[in-house]
Amino acid sequence: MIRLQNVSKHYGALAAVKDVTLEVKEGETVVLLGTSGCGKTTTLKLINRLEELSGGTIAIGGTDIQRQKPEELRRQIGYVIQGAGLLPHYTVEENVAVVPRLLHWQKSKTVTRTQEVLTLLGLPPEQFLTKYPHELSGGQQQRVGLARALVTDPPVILMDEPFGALDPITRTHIRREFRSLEALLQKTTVLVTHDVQEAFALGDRICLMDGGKIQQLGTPQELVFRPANAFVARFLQEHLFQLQLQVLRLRQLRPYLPEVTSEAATAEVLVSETTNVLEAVQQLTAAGAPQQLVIAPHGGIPAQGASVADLMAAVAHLTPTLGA
Amino acid sequence: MSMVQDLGAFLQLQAGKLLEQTLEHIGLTFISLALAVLIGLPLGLLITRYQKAAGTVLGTAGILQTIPSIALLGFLIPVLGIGPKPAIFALFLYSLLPIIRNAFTGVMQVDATVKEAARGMGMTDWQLLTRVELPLALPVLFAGIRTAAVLNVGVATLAAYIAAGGLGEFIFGGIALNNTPMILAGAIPAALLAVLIDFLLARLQHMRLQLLRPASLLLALAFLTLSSFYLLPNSSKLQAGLSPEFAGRADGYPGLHQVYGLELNTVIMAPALVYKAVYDSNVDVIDGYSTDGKIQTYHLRVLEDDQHAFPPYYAAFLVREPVLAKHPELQEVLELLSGTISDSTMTALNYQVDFAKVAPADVAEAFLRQQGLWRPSRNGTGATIRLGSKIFTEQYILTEMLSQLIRGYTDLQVQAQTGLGGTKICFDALAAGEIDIYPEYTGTGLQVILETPPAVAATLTADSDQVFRYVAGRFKKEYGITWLPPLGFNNTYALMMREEQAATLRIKTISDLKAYLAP
Repeated sequence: MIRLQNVSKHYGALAAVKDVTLEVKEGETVVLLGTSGCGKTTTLKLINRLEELSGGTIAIGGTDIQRQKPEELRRQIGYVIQGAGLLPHYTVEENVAVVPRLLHWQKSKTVTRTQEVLTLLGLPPEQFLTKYPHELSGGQQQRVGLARALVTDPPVILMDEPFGALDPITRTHIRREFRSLEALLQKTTVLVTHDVQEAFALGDRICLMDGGKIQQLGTPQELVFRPANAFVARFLQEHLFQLQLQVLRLRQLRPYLPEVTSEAATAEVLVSETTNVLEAVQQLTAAGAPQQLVIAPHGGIPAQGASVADLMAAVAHLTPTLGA
Repeated sequence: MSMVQDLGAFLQLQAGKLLEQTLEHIGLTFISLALAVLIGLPLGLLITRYQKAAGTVLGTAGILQTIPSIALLGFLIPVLGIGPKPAIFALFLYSLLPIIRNAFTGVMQVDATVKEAARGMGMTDWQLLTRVELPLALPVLFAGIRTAAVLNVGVATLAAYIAAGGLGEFIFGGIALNNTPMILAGAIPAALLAVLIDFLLARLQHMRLQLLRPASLLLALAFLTLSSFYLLPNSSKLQAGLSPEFAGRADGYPGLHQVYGLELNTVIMAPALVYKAVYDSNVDVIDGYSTDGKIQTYHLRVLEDDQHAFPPYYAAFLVREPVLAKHPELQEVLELLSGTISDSTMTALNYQVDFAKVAPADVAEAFLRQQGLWRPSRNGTGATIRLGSKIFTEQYILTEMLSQLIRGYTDLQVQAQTGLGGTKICFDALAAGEIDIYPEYTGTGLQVILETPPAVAATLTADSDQVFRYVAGRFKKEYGITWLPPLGFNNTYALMMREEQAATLRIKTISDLKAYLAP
């Protein structure tokens, strides 16, 4: 869907992006991860031409982006930025309707669609339409920002640190909502963040950048268990254990877990086998009394029970087999 | 308390004039402000796009701001003449900086995130400017306009110096006449106007963002309306340019109005500018002094005061009686000049000093030789006679003539103390015996020194001899000072026109002028 071919960007003698080649498949979310100054934001802005290419090509849906006027290109791409960037003199309704107006939509269509998308994002229109940005909480502003990007239902969405301005609790909350949002799941998304956990929580694939170059492009599991170089390993080191738990699914642990008796299965915390280990542990701890969780039966495989100790032992058995 | 009463009385009497001046003042302020917004706003926005030029543009506007306003008006006179044009242009220049600067800062301080979001959504640069940056910059922009407006109300008082009207007319008139109620009648409304405009624009500046768009439209409309105050039609055939003192003095324009019923369409300007203004045809009628050398320079015709509205100002020497008693030979010398100098002669003599730059001593000598009165100095060693003079050309020449005569005809010595400032200083010096002789004018003696009540003065002024007798009699009795016989010329207030225009319109007297204006 989005193809970056040998893309580079120079500011005078300074090279911000060097020879980046990257393809984002339709419906996929690729996270550009790295420290500030690594070139991730520049790369993102090259896609909607907020920055112009110094070299290489970018194509969206097979069309070279240079063949369109920047403004027209941008109107077809959803864009979400840190702190939402809402226009302070516009109401929520006007803010969401900016792009439809630029595209000369019919008024009735704009109104209907605006209300639809606000409802979708948990902002009841009757309550929010006439509010101004300064009357909203940070989380609500970010949702309006998201609604604004989704209102025209663009196939591609670019996000630049979309949750960066939120406090940690709101951030986790919105991130979870965001991940379960149907409207977003089908979008081809490029998301920029410096937050490792956010990258691992949201990315189908992660593109870790440093010094304007891609250090590793792969699934979260690949990054954790098969780091391409010392930089990647060092970058993830601090959060490594947590990330391991986060990228592993219960399904993968099954061979190493004891079977559960059917009478125990009813009493314990029941989770799906697609749940990641970190979340499973969190759910178990949150439940309080129970010592065991039960993995729901799936495709002929019976239910299976495990304590935290069981899970950790299984992880310890599994991880060596995943390395390069 | 009496000041308040005086002010109240003045305002009651001049309500019409006050309203006219206030409207002119508002008009001046807002025309120039509207022009400055028209030019400054686009310029300020342009430099947000070409930021390399920002320093130059803001710097230039800043330098313009530092030119003292009175000097700026002076610079503009040779280029734009006098009247509304230079005044509006000067005010326009003063308004530019706050407007350009605030337009620039207003746009530059719009949150970068907001700008990026707007561009990222696909706004063109024009859409970004008109839909995002400009609306968000409006409060700062309004602050700039507000600063400029308040500044303009203040500076616009100076417009009265160059015949552009406004509340400065009362202020300068009041200063010239030492009339405090008149000064206040101009200053208080000007201050109130500034406060009012500041208040209204402040309301606009702090308005909620979403109301600003209709508010700006309203503001533009208000500007146009207020500007139009200045452009009220002016139907008079002849335009008069008067100095503030003449316009306000009882024996000046108000006197003319009373005696002739003359209704001139007047503007006020600095006394130094009136001659040039009439010469350049900016105005058609001016006031001046009947023996001023500039009458010759600028080819002006002095209109005859055929109904004697102006009191006579015949020049004569004042001498202390003890001096005459002690040196009787002086009497004869002092009378040598009596009746020898006509109005036009005195004008020509003044012209030679003021414009041909001949020294007063040489001018005096040439005149005495021509009259056959000159004699070489006897270099006498007798007592010293001290001569005084006020601080202007005519008095220097007269004092010089007298000292040459005394030296030529007597053995007395002469010490000249020229440049003693105004009437009060000269007269006090004479009365105190610090000087012995100085030239004075009958009208001044009547009005300034004796402070004759207007009712009494009015009965005298029709006849110049009567004034002289009255003044001479009272000076002798009250101060022991003798008025010698008048020298001949009458340096009084006068109305003047360009010789050419006066000839074409066949205006010789003030009655002719009145007849021409209101047949």
